[in-house]
Amino acid sequence: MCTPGGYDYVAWERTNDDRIELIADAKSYKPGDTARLIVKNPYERAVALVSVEREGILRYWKSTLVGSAPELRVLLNSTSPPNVFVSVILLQKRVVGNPTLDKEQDVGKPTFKIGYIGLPVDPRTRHLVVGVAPERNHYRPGDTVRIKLTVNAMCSTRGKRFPCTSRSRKAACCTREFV
Amino acid sequence: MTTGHGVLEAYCHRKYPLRAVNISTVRVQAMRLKSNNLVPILRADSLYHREVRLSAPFDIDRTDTLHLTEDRESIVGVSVDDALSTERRGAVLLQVSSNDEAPAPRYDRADIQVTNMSLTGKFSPDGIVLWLTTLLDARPVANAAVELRDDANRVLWQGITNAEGFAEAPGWGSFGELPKAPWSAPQIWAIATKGDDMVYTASSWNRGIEPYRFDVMTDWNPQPDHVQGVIFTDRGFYRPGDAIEFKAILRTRQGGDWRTTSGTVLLAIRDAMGDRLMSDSVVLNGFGSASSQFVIPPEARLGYYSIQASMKSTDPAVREQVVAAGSFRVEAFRTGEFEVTARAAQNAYTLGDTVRCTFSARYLFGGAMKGEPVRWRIRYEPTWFTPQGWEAYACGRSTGWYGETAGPRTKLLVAKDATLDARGTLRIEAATLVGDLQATGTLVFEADVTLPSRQTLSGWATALLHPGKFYIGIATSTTFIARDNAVQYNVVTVTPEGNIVAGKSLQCRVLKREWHSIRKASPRGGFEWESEAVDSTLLTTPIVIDSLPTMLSFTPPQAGLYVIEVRGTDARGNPIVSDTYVYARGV
Repeated sequence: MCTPGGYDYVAWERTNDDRIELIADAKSYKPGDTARLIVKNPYERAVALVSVEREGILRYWKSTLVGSAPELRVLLNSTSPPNVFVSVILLQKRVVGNPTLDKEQDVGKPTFKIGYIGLPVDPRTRHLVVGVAPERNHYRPGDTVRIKLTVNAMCSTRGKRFPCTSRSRKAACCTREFV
Repeated sequence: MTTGHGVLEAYCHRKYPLRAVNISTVRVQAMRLKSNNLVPILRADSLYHREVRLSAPFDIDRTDTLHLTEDRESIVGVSVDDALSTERRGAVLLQVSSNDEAPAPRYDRADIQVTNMSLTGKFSPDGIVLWLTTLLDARPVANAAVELRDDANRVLWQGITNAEGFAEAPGWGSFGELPKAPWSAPQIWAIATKGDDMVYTASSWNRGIEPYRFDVMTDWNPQPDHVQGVIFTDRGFYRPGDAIEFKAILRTRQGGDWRTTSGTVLLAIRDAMGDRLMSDSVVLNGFGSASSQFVIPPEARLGYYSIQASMKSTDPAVREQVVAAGSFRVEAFRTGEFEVTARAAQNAYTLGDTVRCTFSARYLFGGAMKGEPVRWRIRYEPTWFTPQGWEAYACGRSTGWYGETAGPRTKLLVAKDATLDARGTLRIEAATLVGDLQATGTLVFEADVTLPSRQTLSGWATALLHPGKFYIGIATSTTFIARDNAVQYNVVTVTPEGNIVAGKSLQCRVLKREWHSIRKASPRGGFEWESEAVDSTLLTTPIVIDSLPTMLSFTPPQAGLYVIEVRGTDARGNPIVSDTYVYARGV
């Protein structure tokens, strides 16, 4: 089935609220990636407020979405890690005139839908790899246990680990297995 | 009458619906709402309480005669035109009550925006975005005046919408607005006017679309600049007289970014009755962390203790603000006198195998626990598994990824009572049934051993349970594609160890998933959607896997969700199934 404009109609799941689902093309991203999202748009054509958020509104823009499965592209930048949330608010104009008094039957009234999706953005830097290595595996009561604590950072370009060059503070505690 | 906030499109009939039965007249009172009086009126807690009569200076006070059929509920329209501007736009507060005698008079009220505009607002401590559009055709409304007010009706900010209908205001944090309670954000009102048309919204008007409904974590108590962190103890369980080491790590959110916190933090411990046992002011180090110690008094109460880190608050009404909180327990407990260990005979099994495990129990002083009672069980817990080297392939059912909700569940396979042998050991075995479980799982072998002193300790071991002798792997070239473009996918059969198994006959199906939805009248009134997922087979391809992954393709003819499902059977008769999905977007 095709809409008059040539855009496909997809019968997505309908729910009794104003939420829609956004689908991302990957489970996680890195800075510089462009996330591609499919908006499960219940409208033939809708104007959209798209915003990228995290503890506030980072950026926003207006878009026009056509068809049931339009694609949105969101560029992820250096401020995106560790995650951002993309919000899409769809506004639908009045599509059928002559509304009746019964609001439930007025299927052509102006409506809105809103969708949210969280996008993990892994910087692949700033990762601290903490190592705990005792000298031996077995000790006797009264022995002194020496443990080597290491902190390494992940290189951002080659994926290799190298010793952390900045200061780090380590805390270690030792407990009995039987509380 | 539906009470609360309502909208009537100014270009339509401008009648607010009222459901009535066996009423001859209603008293209609209406008051014009303007930008300078709507906040004090609408923020009143009892505004929509039906038993409370509002004695406000209404502009309109009239009696409407209803012409209803006896004993039949009807919907009639209450006109609000006479409370509007000459252009029939604006906002009104409507109060409707029945003139007929009733044992308990009822006053239904609604604030109704009669407008051709729609105002969308996003509110945060650091920034506010308002978007003004028309209702009739969803076009931006440019050059409209917008303003923000607080609950005290103070004008916080004024601006003009741009060509796209947007107005960007500073966050409420910059206006000195602070939450009234630790579980709330300040309420900000946004009002837009153009000519005689006016619309408004408030930051708290988000019922039904709260962030948690989208699995979005949200701060119930957002603040412009605030300190947040964690505080933890070295253990979670102590006896009276034990020493506790604890540490707090704090960060400050400032200007939308997180920084290391500096200053002095007050660390406090309260016992199970809330009495403060210790408080210590500690200067945070360069990492924004602080630590301290405390010895629990020998006579201390038992129970849950709280531990808190507090700092001086930015809110002058609150001296100290808790920035991190945790808990631990103080109990009179006995340490373990023995230990229970478990060892599965193999790291992995295949459905149809007999699984085996050995439990051992010994006293910590060295003796075997001969003849003690044991309660043992084997549980199956679904898990994800991909043979090594085939991580790019989907192996097994991708339940939950594209709308499925019911997946495999945890299952108790067997549970029995037994007795430890002379060496304090117990060997158990159980058969798994071919075709009984259709997904990879973790087998959990557990045993509880109880001493006559009623001390019970447990030991456990795990092993993987593969659903068959091989896995089917599916790898698609993409999960997103434009319709009419070919999706290529590889299918492979591999052992759990990752070696290709050649010669397996499989059935590949490509399904198009849609939802058939109908709107049904609800017994509660109104209409409700009912949706049912329906799969239609696009194509079926029988294949025999070679010594390399077999490449297949299909072309989505329309936008939508497509499921690629591949089925086979192992030599034991275990059904093997894997699936993955592709979304096709519209052109």
